[in-house]
Amino acid sequence: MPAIDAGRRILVVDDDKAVLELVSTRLTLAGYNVFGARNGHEGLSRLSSLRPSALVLDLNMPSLDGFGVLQRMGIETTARIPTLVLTASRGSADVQRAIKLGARDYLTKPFKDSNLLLRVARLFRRPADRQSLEQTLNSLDHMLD
Amino acid sequence: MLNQLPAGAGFTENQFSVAMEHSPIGTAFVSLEGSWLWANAELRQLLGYSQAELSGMTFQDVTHPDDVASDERLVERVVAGELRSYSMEKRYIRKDGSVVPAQLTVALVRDDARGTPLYFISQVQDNTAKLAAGAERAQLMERVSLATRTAQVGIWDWDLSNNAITWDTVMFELYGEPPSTNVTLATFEGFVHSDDRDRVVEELSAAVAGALFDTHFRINRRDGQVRYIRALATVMRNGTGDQGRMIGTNWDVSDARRLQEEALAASKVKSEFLANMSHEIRTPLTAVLGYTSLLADRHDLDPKAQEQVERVAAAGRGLLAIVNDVLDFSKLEAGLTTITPSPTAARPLAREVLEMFVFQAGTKALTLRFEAATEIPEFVTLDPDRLRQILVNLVGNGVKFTDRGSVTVRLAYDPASERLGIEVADTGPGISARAQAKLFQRFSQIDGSSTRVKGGTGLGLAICMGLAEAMGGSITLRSRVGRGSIFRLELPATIVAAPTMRNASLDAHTQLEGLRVLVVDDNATNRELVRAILEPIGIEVSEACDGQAGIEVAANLPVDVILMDMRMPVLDGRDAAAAIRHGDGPNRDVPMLAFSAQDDGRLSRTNSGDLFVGRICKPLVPADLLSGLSQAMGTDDVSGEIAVAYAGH
Repeated sequence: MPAIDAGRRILVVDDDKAVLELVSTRLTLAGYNVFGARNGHEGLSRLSSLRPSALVLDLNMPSLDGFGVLQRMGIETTARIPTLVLTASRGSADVQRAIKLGARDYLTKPFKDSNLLLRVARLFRRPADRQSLEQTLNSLDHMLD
Repeated sequence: MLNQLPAGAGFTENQFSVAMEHSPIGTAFVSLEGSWLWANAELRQLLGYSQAELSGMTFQDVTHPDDVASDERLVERVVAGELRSYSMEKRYIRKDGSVVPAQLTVALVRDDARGTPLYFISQVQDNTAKLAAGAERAQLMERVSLATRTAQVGIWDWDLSNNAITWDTVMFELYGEPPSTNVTLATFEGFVHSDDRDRVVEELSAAVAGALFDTHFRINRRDGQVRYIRALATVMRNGTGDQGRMIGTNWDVSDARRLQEEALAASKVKSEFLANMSHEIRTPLTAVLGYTSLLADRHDLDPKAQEQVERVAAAGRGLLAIVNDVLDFSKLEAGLTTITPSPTAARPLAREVLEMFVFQAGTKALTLRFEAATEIPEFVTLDPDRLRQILVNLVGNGVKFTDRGSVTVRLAYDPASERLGIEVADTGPGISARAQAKLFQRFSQIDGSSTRVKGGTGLGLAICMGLAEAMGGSITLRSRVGRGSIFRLELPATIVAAPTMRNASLDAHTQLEGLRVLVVDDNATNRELVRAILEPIGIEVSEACDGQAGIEVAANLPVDVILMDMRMPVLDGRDAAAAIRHGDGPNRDVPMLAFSAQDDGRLSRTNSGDLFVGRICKPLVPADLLSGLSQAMGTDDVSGEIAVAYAGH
């Protein structure tokens, strides 16, 4: 993996191809280094191998949904990788649950481009805790069990 | 040099005898039997006898009877060889019978070879001046002592070599101890209240080293009383320049202290009351001002409606000023008034005030005039609210008390003295000289009857005067019965460039779109107002109606900024903010802005600086809210990069 732009590496996880493409394009144009995943499992796997600085995660996905991904990530990882969840409705119950599972922020679909950029930018606002690389790798590996 | 000269070397005998004769110290040779062999001019003058008269007398003849015995005893001891010389204070009796106090020093001259006594050399110094000084000093000491005793000022004397302390009677009284008590430094320190002791000990050490000892402390008397003591002291150096003693004073200031504490407490109660009243009154005013301000910003009103809205807005501001009137008066009374100058457009401001009274003037067919006598600078440094307040009062009075004719507001600016002059002239009944004097006093209108007819608190002019003076200016009055009145306000006002604040709100609009704001305020109108201001520019507003609800919402919903009202029941703004900041919810790092009234002293840097990034004053002005939000967002490093934690991968 190239080390360039490691600081602005984003993983986008969404089962909706159109959304995935839209978000990735938008964020790439804004200067981020964007990678994608089509479902929850792929998302977890790429989290481990890519080690992105931030995660954009759709909540509504078949098989393993966004909540499941957050759960598998665990407290330590969600603290280290700020996560923006995409939710279909304005239902705050979903948002509350996601927050409790460690998500940092949320965005309601459909969303404006400017709001997407604002929310992603604000994800990077809080510096992640600097734990040792070892520990982070270990916690990521455990997720795949 | 002189002690190396062999006797007589370089000086003749004659020179010696001339020197002796004219020495300023009385000098004499006295025989072993006590008779005067020779006395110099000084001594002869002192005693009042001629040489011839003295040669037939003895020293006892001219000595005060009470001093003869001691003098003779000393002579015996010198002759016996016990002493080489002696010195004593004694009194001489002059020829005219008057008494002269003197210092006598006598040495015995012996035969060189066998040591046989030959004669005495006596030196006599007139002590009159010295004794008089001594007596004067004694008298002075007595006066001081009387004064300190009367004033209940205790005097203490601390011997630095052995820490023994001498107290006068007042000290013993102050400390409640019998005069027989032995006092040392340790004893004194034992009396000092434990909270003050370390400080006092430190101050004493510093004083011994040369610092000024000027302090206060509490003492615990043996009878249980606690007293506040003021103390002053000074170090007395001994002959070699070392610190020998410290002498000082103590006096009881307990009464004054108690009064001061009571006054402070009363003042605090007053301030609290003022703050509460201010809050109660400003809250509905916020709605009036806020919404009229929004209305004024609308572009879909016809010019007439626009004008009317402007009038309402101006009247709203005027109303606010009147509310401030009452509160300001109370503050002026309490000495708590602040003046905040800023770039002010004085001409439009004055015009605006005048226009506030168009309707009222219309009912009486009064003409309102506005004149600018000289070039008025566009912006000057003045406190606009205070200026408006004064002008509303002056113009309002003019309109109120004038039934026909006109009220004119006239502006003038003198660039040389940098002073702005505003005259409010009316064609009313005028004010007599006697009435003028009364006018500027509190609570007095010229006669009580006009209060009932015209209404008013009577506070206005007194406040105006106080404010004008607080701004460094003045208000004067020229008036004659039947000829109307001219109130003249003069204020120092430096010319200044136009403020750039106007543009800030435009930029803010674009930056803030998409932001999420949580407003926590127990007042529904305030929350609505915030929503009405922010939603049109694309900001998502969430609400909470008290501190507890605010904490709950903040725990579940991530937002970008929290607007926190400081005064809420049950859980106030500060506590709610602290709970959010120190909790582990998604908003713990989110910037928070405090809502509070201007004179609410609760938000101070020391106690809330870590919680809030800024403050927005009530009543709420849209521009303030927007710029406050922009600033709060600016304190965030939105573009912050995460450090490369995965280096080398």
